[in-house]
Amino acid sequence: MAEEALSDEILMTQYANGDQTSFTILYARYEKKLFGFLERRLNSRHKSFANDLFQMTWMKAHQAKRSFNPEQKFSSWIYAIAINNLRDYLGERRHDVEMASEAELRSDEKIMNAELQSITKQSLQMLEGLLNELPPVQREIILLSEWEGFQSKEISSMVGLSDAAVRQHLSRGRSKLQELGRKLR
Amino acid sequence: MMPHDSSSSASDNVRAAIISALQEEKESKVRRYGRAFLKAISVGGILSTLIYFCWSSSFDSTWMTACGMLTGFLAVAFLLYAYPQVRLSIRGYWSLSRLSLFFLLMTVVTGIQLILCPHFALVHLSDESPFRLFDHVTNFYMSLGGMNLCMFLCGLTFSSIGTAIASAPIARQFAFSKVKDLAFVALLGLVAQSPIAVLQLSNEITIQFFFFWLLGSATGILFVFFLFKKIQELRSVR
Repeated sequence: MAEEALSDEILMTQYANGDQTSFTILYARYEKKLFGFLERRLNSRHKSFANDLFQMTWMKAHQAKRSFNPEQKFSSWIYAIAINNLRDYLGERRHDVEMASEAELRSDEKIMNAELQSITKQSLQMLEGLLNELPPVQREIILLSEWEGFQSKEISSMVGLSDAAVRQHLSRGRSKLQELGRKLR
Repeated sequence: MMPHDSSSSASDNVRAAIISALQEEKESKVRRYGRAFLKAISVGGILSTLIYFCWSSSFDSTWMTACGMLTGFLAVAFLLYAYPQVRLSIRGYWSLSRLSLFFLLMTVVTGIQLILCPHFALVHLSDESPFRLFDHVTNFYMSLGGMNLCMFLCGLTFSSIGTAIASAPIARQFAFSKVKDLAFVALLGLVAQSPIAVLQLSNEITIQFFFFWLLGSATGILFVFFLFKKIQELRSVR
């Protein structure tokens, strides 16, 4: 189907004009990624919030669909909405919004065998501990960069900071992680 | 990572709700809002007719104003509910559809309160009313502490029952709601009850006790909200 080859931005523009097919394709592209993104930021006690936040993100995206700028990347736009929701919805429980536990971070493709699972478990446990040592903004930026694979410019539009500030947070966050890692060894 | 069990159904719900919202957007606005307006007129008309037949001998311009307000509120609620939107029930998130639904139900409940207990407006028409369900309640409250306490307890009792009825269909919303959001919804509940306030304020006797009724009513609404919030949060944890 020709529409499936279209970029996210074109699909979003068509969706904003009322095209259901474009929405369905766009939704299929992002539902897993977005849900995973939200789920990874919640610990096991608040895992059920991922459903609420996921629904809220799409609801707000729908409400704001006409304000979408096609020159902007769709992924940055929808993730920015998700991040704002996460901050707003769980703002009162910020201390609980820690990194997901090792079990929550585990994904099927990462666990190929028992040996690898053991290594992954240890690494993720260590990573979780290290990330929780970072300030919330730095942790969020590191996760968006290292885990979700976003560029600093994209992250800057999501978190509302300048590109330079994001780069600075990334650099400091990485240095701190290295430093913490060395202390653990 | 996704769609598994509950998250899968959440995902399906979102997709279906957005597709439905897109279809609503394509529908003719005149037809959509016209239908909503007709519903408001019908429900308002039924409530006003019932009020008139119950209290016809006292039905003056103040009662007409109260009935007009009920119909007006219903029109606002139906029109806001008809606005094309994503209809999802998200814990703690008060969307337009949830707010308008609550306002609609609360307005209907206010109309029913006026049918069942016109003592709010100091109408002693128990003899002509076919609904004499709450006479003994009023008498009991009066015996406890006179008019002041009666008005407070009546506000508390009727608003609690009314709010519980109006909130039951949207009970899920209350879980994890922020206090400021609940305060806003409570204010909306009081606005829906303002036809009762108009009747009280127009009477030189009831106006003296209006504050007690308002206090009881606000307490009742907030009590039910926090009760629903607690219950829904406990259910969510389980």
